[in-house]
Amino acid sequence: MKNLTDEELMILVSNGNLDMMSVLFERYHTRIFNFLLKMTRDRDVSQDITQEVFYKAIKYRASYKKGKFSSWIYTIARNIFSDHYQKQKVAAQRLDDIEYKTESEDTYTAEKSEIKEQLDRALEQLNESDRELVIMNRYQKIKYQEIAEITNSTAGAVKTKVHRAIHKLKDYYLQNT
Amino acid sequence: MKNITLILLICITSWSLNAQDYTQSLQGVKKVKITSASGVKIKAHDKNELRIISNGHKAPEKARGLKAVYAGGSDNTGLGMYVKKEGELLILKNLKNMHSKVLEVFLPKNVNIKVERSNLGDLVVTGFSSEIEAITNVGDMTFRDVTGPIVAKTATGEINIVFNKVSQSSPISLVSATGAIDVSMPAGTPTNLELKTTMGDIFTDFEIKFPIEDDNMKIVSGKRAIKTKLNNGGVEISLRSSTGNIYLRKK
Amino acid sequence: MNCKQIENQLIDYLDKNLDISTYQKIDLHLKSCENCTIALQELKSVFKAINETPEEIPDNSLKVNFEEMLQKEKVALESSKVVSLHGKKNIWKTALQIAATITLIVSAYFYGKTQQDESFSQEIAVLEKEKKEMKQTMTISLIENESASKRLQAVNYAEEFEQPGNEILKALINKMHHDDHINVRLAAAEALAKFSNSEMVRNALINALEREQDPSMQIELIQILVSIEEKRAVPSMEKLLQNEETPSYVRDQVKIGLPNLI
Repeated sequence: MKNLTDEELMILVSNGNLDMMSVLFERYHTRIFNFLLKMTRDRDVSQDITQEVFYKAIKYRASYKKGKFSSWIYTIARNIFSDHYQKQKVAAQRLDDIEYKTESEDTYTAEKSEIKEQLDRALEQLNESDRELVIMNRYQKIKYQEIAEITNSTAGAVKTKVHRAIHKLKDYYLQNT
Repeated sequence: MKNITLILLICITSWSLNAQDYTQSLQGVKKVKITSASGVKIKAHDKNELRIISNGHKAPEKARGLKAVYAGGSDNTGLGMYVKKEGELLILKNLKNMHSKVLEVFLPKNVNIKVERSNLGDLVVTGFSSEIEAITNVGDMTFRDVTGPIVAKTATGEINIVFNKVSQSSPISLVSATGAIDVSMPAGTPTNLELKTTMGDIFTDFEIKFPIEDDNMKIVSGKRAIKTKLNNGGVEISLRSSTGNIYLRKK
Repeated sequence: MNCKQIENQLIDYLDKNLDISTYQKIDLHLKSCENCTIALQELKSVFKAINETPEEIPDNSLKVNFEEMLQKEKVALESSKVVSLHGKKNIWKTALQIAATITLIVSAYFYGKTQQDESFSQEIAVLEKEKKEMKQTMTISLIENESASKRLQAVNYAEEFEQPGNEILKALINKMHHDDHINVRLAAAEALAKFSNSEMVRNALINALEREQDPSMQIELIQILVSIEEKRAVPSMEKLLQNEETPSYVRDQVKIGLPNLI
């Protein structure tokens, strides 16, 4: 089964062969987790959302329409993340909790390099949409065309936005040094 | 001194611009289909673009102000080629006849390639990690520094392939009617191997376990086939020729 | 190009995402413009920092939870199948049926305890059945794939069936006659040879030899028809012998094979 493409495996899943989802989980869970971790900066929340992504992928398997699997799974991840983020906004109290948690976690990993911290701080200064684009395109190496599929946009528009976001990130990053 | 460097730089730049190679971005393209009656040489490069080497293609002096007209379609590259993007597919047609110069093309190493109707000329493909499909009639085929999958057939030419790694993604199949098939691949390649020749011989330095002969089996034709697993089995590799020999070498 | 335009293209420049002439223009500009060179260095340092960010590994609990969830969903899928078979029938009846099913499962469990070998072989049978269904789905979904190698994969899957259904056989026959790549046609013919107990397959092979123009395919078909002792193919083989355009090595193949059929 290892020879099958993501899309072939997902066709099997949508036909009721749920076991094939294990293979897709192996291929994608670390990437999705890292995407969410960069977005939330919270390990526990990222793990929970990753879990939910694959739950939704199984539950809504019939809605998979033979497109690129990676675009589909990222679309799910984004939806769950923004739901989560909305809830967070409402419960502002909880947001404080999370900020605190992130900080305390940072102090645990003392060896974390300075560069990475500067970069993370710069990333945090971006607005959510810019941050997401930079993470997808530069950290996760997703091509403009595919990001356009995920975010329902065009490759040209995505490219312009990504470039603008990178320049902003660069400015924040250099200010922090 | 500075001036000299500058002049040199300008010379170099303008020289390479004058070479008049044709380039086209391959943003969003997954497969390139090439049709050519003459020989074709395809090499991998690091840019995500198609580049056709001009090879000094020049219209004769008398043709100034005129346009070249070809039977197969319109020349939209100035090199006697027709290039068209259709969604994820890029079509490249060599409009010139089979006696024209070898078509030399550069492509990114991960784009899938399909070559058709290469007639008298040879096909040489170097440096790709993508899927390659090819059919030629008379010409030889040479693939170097590739991983497959490769699905190739020639009627009378030879097929020579050097794999530096064999992709396990989907089957490899090479067919020749009268020419030889010569394949080199790493000794540790896991594969389900099928070698089949009707009148040719098979030579290899891989250790192949021959199936035990079934005494009751009637020999009904000159068909000789070996099916075996190498390194516990893996992707299917099928080599078959009618009258040519098959050579399978450890790399 | 002025500095502003250059700066806007520096990311593409680093990504090697430009056509050669633009690339050279920027190269040339960078050699004489300090500001743009600095801007390029700054971008490079950001990309370097990003690329050196290590990938984080999630806790093992994520995988464990996933597997657990998957098992639950599989059970849910199975039971939904049972219920949906009965449609809108009396709810009591359904409840009784479920109860009966549970009793059956429980007793099967105890039965299985004493008869482990048997239940094990039953499990294998279920697995085999699933595998077969999967291969069937794979074959059908791949056989029209745009990639020749993927189509070969589909043919290989089909070849592994013991008793393929007509849908699979028809797909193979279609591939033998019409595939875009000759290698796929050859593989399809070879796969069909295994299923020569089907009259539909035999007829298709005979028809194929009558119409075939490609020497490699002709040879393959002759070998197959001889090995399945199909006497009805004799006329088209004789025709090949008489046709002057038939390549000599194809004629040789007929000469070797024909005596076995007459």
